[in-house]
Amino acid sequence: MAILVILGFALVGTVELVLSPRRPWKEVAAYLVLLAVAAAFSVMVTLNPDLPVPQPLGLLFDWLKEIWQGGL
Amino acid sequence: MSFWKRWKEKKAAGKQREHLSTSLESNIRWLRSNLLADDATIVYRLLRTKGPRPRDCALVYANNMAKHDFLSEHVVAPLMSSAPPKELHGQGLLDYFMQEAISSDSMDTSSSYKELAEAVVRGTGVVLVDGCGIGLMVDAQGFEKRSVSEPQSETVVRGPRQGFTEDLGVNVSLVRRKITSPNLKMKYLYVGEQTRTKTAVMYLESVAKPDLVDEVIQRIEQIEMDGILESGYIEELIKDSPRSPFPTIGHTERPDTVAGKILEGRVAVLVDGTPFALTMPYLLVEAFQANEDYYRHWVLASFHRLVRYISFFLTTSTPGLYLALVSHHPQLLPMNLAISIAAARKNVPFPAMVEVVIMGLVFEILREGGVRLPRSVGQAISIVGAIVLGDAAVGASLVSAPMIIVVGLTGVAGFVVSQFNDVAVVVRLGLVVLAGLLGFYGFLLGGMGLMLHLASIKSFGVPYLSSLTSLSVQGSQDTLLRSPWWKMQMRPRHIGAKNRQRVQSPSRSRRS
Amino acid sequence: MKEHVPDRQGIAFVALFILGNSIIYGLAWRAGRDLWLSFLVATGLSFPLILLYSRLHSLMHGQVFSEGMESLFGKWPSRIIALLYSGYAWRLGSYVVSDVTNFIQAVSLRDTPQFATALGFVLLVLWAVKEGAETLARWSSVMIVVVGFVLVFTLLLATGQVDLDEFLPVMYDGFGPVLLGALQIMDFPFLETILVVGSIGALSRQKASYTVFLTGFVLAAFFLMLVASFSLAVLGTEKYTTSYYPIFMATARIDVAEFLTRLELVVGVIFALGGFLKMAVCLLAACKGLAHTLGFSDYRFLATPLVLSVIPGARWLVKSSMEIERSATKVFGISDVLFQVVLPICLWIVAEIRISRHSED
Repeated sequence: MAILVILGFALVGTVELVLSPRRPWKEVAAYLVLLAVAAAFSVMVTLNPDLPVPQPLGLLFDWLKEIWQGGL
Repeated sequence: MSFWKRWKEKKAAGKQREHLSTSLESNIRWLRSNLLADDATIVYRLLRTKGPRPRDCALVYANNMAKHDFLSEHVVAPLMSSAPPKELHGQGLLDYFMQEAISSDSMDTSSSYKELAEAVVRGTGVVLVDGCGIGLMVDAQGFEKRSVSEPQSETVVRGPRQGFTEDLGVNVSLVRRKITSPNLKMKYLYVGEQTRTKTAVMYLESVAKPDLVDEVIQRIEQIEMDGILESGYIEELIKDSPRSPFPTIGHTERPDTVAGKILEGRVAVLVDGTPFALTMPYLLVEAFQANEDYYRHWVLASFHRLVRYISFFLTTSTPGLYLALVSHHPQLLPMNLAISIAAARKNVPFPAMVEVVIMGLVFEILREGGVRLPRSVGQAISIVGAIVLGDAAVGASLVSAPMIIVVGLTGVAGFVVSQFNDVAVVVRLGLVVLAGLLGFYGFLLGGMGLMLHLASIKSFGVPYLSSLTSLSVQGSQDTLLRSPWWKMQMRPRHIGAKNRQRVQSPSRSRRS
Repeated sequence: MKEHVPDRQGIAFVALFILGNSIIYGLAWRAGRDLWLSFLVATGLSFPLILLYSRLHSLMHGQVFSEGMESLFGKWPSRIIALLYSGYAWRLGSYVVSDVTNFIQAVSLRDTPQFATALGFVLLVLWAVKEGAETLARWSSVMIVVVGFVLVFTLLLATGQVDLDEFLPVMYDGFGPVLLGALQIMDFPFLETILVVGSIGALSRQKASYTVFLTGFVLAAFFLMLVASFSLAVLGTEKYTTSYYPIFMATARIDVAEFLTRLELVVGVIFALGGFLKMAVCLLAACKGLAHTLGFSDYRFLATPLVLSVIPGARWLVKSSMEIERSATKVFGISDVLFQVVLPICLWIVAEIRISRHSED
C-alpha cells in the first residue's frame, strides 16, 4: 500500500513536470520538496491511521478550560 | 566569394524583372517563361489598334475564370476600333484607353509582374500595351456559381430562404443587403500562401469594440498556412482554448444570422469558397439560440429554447444517469420501475457499463454511416439500425429494452442542439465513465468539472458563460428564455459594450 | 496573471462558500427550538467581524497573501501570517474532504471506499485551484442559481410537513443555549469566510469588498436559517438535535403524490456543490499563502502536493465519522478563535495604524 502511494506521487510528479512549461529552478525545487513531504505524510498516515495530531494550542486550551469551569 | 557575387547578381537580376519593361514582346515572353509558365489555361490575345499610329496590345486572361463575352465585347472590340492620337505614350496612352476605349466599371493599373500575374489567375483580364511599362487590370471575374438557395444545414419554417454560396462577393452582398448602413465596415484579407483566399472581416463600427476587431484581424493576419479551403481552417487556427471540444467561434450558413450577430456587436468573417461564415466571440448561449427564435412569438420561442437546454441535458446525461441508477442506486428508483428494469436486464450477459458504452458506439456508427451516404442509402441504414439491430438485439437478450430507449432518447435529443452534437458525444462518454465508477456522485463530479471547464474558457476575451453568469434580469434576457423585442433594449454586455443601447430612445418603444 | 471578479459573482462565491458543507449539519442544535434566534444573534455578532474582513480585503486591494499584505505588515511578518493561514486553510480543507466523503458513504455509496470518492473530489479541486478564483467565481455564479432554485423548490414542497408549533415556547430554556448555538454558527460556517478573503483576489473596485462579503454573508445566513428552521419544524426538536444530517432526513419525508420523492438526493447535490467549492477555496487560500511564504508570485505550481495531501490529511485529522459531526458543530474551537477573531482584529488594528501614519507623512 505504501509503495503504491509513493509510486502514485512519483507518477504525478513526473507527469506534471513533463507537461508543464519551463519554470525557474527555484519553483521546481520547491515543488519537488513539497511533493516529497506530501508523499511521506501520506505514507505515514497509510501505515498508521491513528497517527496523533499535534495540538500546538492544546496548552492554551487546557488553561482556558481550567479558568472557565462552565464547561461546554 | 564567388558564391556571394553570384547571389548578388541573381538578386539584381530579379530586381530588374520586378517591374514591366516597355517592350510588349519582352513582357509577354517573361510572363510566359516565368510567372505564368506551364499554364495551359492562360490566353494571350494579341491585337492592334487603329489610328494614325497603331499600337500593339495584348490581353492576358485565364480561360474559364474570366467572362469571355465581356472581355470580347468591352475590351477587345473597343481596343481594336480605337484610334489613339499619335503623340500619346506611357501613362497618357493608358489613360486614353481607360477613359475612351475600355468600357468596364472596374479597372486598376499596376507595373508589378507579380501583381499582374496574380490578377490573371484570379480571373482578371490584363491589358498590356507596347511602349508602356504599366499593365491595365480589367475586372472580369466570372465563373460558375451556385445560386442563392436555402441552406441544407439550417432550414427554417419562418425566415428568409437565403443561404450563403461559395462566392465571397455574393455572400458579402447578402449581408450588406440586410444592414444597409455605412456603419457596416468591411476589411479584406488574403490568407494562405498558395491559395491567397480572400477573406472579409465585417463589423458594425458604431457597436463592435475596436479591440475585438483589431484582435480578429491580427489573429487572421498571423495565420501561416499554405491553403485555406474552408472557414473551418481559420476557425481552428484562431480560436481560443483550441483543445476544448466546445466551439469558441460560431459558424452559420445564413445571412440573417450573421446580420443579427453583427448587430449585437460581433465580428463576422466570410471566407471565399465556402458558404460557412464565422462569427466571434461565440458564447455558450448562442448554441441554444436559433435565428427563428427572433422571428416568432417570444413565448413559443422561449419554450423551444428551454426544450433545447433540456435536450442538451438529456443527450449528455441520460446514459450516465441510467448507469448510475441501475448499477449503483437501484433503491432510488420507484419500486415498480426498478423491478421492470431488473427483469429486462435479467438475461443480458454484460454489465450495465459495457452495455451503455457499446450501444453508444453503435449509435455513433449508424449516425456517421448515415451522414456520409446518399440520402436514399442513408434511410436504409437507419432502418437496418432501428429495426434489425435494435429489435433483434433485444430479442436475443444482447441488450435490454430500457437501454434501447436510453440510446434512442440520447440520439434524438442530440440533434436538437446541432451546434453541440459533437461535443455531446465527448461529454456523454465522460459522464458515463464517471457514473460507472462513482455512481450518482461520479456523475455530479463530471457535471461540476464540465461547468468548471466552461467557466474557464473565453472567446476573444469574453467569458464563455457570460450572460449566464451575470445574475441580473437585464443580462439574462436572451439566455434561457427569449424576451420580447420591446424589452430587449440593450445589447449583450461584454459584446456590445461600446454602444449598449439597442433602441436609441426607450420611450419610443411601444410597451415598456 | 491578473484576476478580476465581478461583484455579483463575488457575492455568489461568498454565499456558496458559507452554505458549503454546513447546510446538511444540525447547526445550532444546542439552541433546540430557538435556533432561529441563534441565527439572528450569530448574524448580528458576525456582522462586525465580516465588515472587518471586508476592510482588510479592501485595504490590501485584494492582493492578500502578496503585495497587499507585504506593504502593510512588512516582509517577514506577512510571510509568517500567510504561513499560519495557509496551515489553517489546509486543515479546514481536510475537514471538508472528510465531511463530504463521510456523507457520501453514509447515505449513498456504502461499498465504495472513501478514498475513491475523496480522490474524485480532490482531483476536481486540483483543477479548480489551478484555474484560479476568477473561474471559480464564475462557476459559483452559475451554481448558486441551481442551489437557490432547488432550495426554494424543496422548501415550498415541504410546507405541508411543517409544524410551526415546534418553535414554541420561545426561549423556554433561557438565553444560554441560544448563545451557545450562536457561537457555534459563528465558528462554523460564518467566520470561516476569512479564508475567502485570502483567496478571492481583486474585485471590480476597492469599495466592492464590502458589498461582496456582506451581501454574500447575509444571503447565506438567511438561507441557512431557513433550511435549519425548516428541518426543525419538520423533524421536531428531538430528532433535529440527535440526527447527523437533519435536512437530509427532513427532505426524505417529502412525498408529493408518490411522484416527487427521493428529494434527499437533491440535498446531496447541494452538499456536493458547496463542499467542492469550500474545498477549492480553502486549498486556493492554502496555496496562495504558502506561495507567499516561500516568496513566489505564482501559486499554481504548488497546488498538486498541497491538494493531494488533504486525502491523508482528512484521515489523519478525523479518526471517525462521529467525531466530525460533533467537531463540526462544536462551540468555538481554540484555533478557530485565533484565526477567525484574534488574528484578524490584530491585523486590522496594525493596518489602520499603518495607514493613518502613512497618510500623515
